[in-house]
Amino acid sequence: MSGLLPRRAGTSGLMLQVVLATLPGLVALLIVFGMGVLLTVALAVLGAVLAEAFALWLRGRSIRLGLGDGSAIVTGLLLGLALPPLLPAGLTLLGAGLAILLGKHVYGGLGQNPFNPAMVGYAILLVSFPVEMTTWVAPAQLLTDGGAGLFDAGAVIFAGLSPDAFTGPTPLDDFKYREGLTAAEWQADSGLGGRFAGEGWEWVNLGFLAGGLYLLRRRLFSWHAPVGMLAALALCAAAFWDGGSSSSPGSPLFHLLSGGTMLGAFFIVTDPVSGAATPRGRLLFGMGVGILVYVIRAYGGYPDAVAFAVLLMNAAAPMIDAYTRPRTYGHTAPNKSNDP
Amino acid sequence: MVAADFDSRLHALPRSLDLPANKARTRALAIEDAAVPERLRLPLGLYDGRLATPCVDVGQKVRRGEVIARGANALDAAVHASTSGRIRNVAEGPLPCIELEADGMDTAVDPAPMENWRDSARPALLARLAEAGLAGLGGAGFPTAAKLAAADAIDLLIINAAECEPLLTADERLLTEQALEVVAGIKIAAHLTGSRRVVIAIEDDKSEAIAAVRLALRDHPFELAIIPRGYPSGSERQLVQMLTGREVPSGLLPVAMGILCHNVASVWAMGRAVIEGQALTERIVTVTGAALLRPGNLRVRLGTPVGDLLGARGVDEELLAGIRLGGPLTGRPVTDRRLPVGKTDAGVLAAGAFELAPAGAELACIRCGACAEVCPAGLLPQELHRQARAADLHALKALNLADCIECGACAWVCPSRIPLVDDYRKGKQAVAAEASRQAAAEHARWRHERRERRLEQERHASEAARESRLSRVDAALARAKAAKQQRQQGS
Repeated sequence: MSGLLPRRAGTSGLMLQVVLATLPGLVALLIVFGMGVLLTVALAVLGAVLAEAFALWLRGRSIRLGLGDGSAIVTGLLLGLALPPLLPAGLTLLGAGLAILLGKHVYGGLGQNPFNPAMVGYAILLVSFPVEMTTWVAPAQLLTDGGAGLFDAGAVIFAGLSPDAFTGPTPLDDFKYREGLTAAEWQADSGLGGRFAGEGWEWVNLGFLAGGLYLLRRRLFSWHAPVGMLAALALCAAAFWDGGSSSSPGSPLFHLLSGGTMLGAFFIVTDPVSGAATPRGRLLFGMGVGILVYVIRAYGGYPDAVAFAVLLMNAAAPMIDAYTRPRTYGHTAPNKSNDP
Repeated sequence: MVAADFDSRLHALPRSLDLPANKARTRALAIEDAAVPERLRLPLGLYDGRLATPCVDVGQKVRRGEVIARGANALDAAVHASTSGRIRNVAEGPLPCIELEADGMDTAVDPAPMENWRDSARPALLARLAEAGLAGLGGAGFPTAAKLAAADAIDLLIINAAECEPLLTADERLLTEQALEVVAGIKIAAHLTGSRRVVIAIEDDKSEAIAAVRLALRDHPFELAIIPRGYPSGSERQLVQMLTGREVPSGLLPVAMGILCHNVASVWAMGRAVIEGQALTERIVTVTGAALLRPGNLRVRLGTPVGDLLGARGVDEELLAGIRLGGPLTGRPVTDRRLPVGKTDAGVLAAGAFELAPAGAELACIRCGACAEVCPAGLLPQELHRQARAADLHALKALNLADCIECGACAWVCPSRIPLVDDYRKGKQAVAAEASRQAAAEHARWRHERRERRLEQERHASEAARESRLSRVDAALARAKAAKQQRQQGS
């Protein structure tokens, strides 16, 4: 017995719920990384909405209806939450615009995109502007001096002031290049180890986890994709953890609460459009993302991996769908036809 | 003997929809007679799109219960005048029907009960059911006689009183008030199918009807299955699954498994046709909806226009979101209020917005999968939607479109307000059109090839004939030559 969605919620109602659910994570980001977060998120939403309106106008669609479903706002919001808080304004606008134009409308708009638009925007920025995209605000410093206020952040984001005064490596990055330290030594020496996973980031991840659990409770999506991703990531991390030697890729808890893990698990891999269609398919889809996140973090050259892992699995989703169709009533075998 | 409760385990449906029943307004209301309208429209369309042929003339006077049209097959359900009056018109167009002007007398033909029906031959009983106009009153409208004629090895007869669709209480009231008559009908159905087991299935929220059935079943070996509420438990295939744990194979009917399902109103009509000798000229209809002022369960003459029924009970046009003939999920939308109540229509709704599937500007499908979570057939409605819009018939077949039972659960939960069932109906029509086009092409090819073969044969034959003619000429010449030589030698 299941009616998945609250009746009459409507697609725009769903989008509103998603926006609300990002609030705990957003607040954690603000506390940890300062006001730049708010500016970047606002810019990303603005860029996404402008691009959406432009694309709808180009395509002769109703701008009111197209913006009314709220999907562009969600795309911009999720991209903004994933970007470095002091990213120059132009790049944020560019990423958000490309997310909508190249991630969504070139495929025919809402519901047609094979890739997660926010992750398309993120990946384009990451490969095009690797330096800016890996310049993160240092959380430890912020916690001691109160961090980059609105004025400082604005100066960096809009006026091109150097962000050097505020920046530092992320725990994921620093842990990876810790040069011979054991995990325990890094935890003690780096100042980035945090209480249990990584200074500041652990709270951000817990914030997104809380918002995600709220959405799960409201039954906006099923548990399959997030649980698949988190379980696969934790299992991989546990298998290679080796107790934290100098070559250990990090503990399961460290991976679960670092970088974009929780934002990805509850707000990105749950995107129904670019994910798999059935519960079983979603479980596989999430597991694939989890495994790829671990592989890229442990062995790849990028500091975080959620965007690439999601995009790769997006490409695999149609094939997952073809092999996970439910058995139709009155048929003896599951529907394995590859045709559509 | 005591009515035996269903003694097998019930099997839960893997997917179903928990809908607000919205039945409280009418479930306790006793059945009343609806007024006989001044003008009735009796549809000629049969269950499969064929038309019954009128056997009356315009201007002819008819009495209630008189046959006015018949189908081509002997077991097709006949069409009857549902009151006395004069035939005004035989209308064609989108709704082919016979228009009858009531004379207000409501005189009926004499009933012809079959008192010793148990001793009657099976063909005679089936003929009576067809002649009395019996068709499945639960929705499909399949002729009852034809259904029974095809059922000779039945192990399980299911009487479907689930009535799972919101708002409808017609079957529930029928059972509550006329359980004995229903049971009499069941006896006939059981007799005709020779079924060892008869199960009456009813949803668990109909306590009054359940009590009435229990009482009526006291001296009968029929079982009562009280099934959990969940849409669409009253769908034939889902009901078979619940009661037996088996699925009806795709493309087949339950009869292929030795199971026959009859709607409870259909068996009631069977009893009336055989025991009382009455033709099917009326049915119980729940007239309700948030926009209806005085809802009720009405005994309605077939052919009564929707507008007459609604008008008599008062419609709040401000609240009205849509009129439906049938239930809120599977009913037909009515735009022309002259549309008549037919044999399969258990409801006439003047529905408020919250009682219908969400309407309004359709948004894009975001593949959220809510539809697939509730699809009782285990389909992927979101994929079917995409392929139906793309008119990809091949993909539609691969996604098992043919197994869609059009229950409307998917459209009900769709957050983008997509009228999914409309897509599937169009898709099915396109698939059927393509199949018939292919069959026609195949037939044309076959005829062409046959013609080519015939021409070839004729060519062979004419050549052979020419050769044999030539050889006859040669032979004659040779004979002439030989004769000449003989003559020369002789001279």
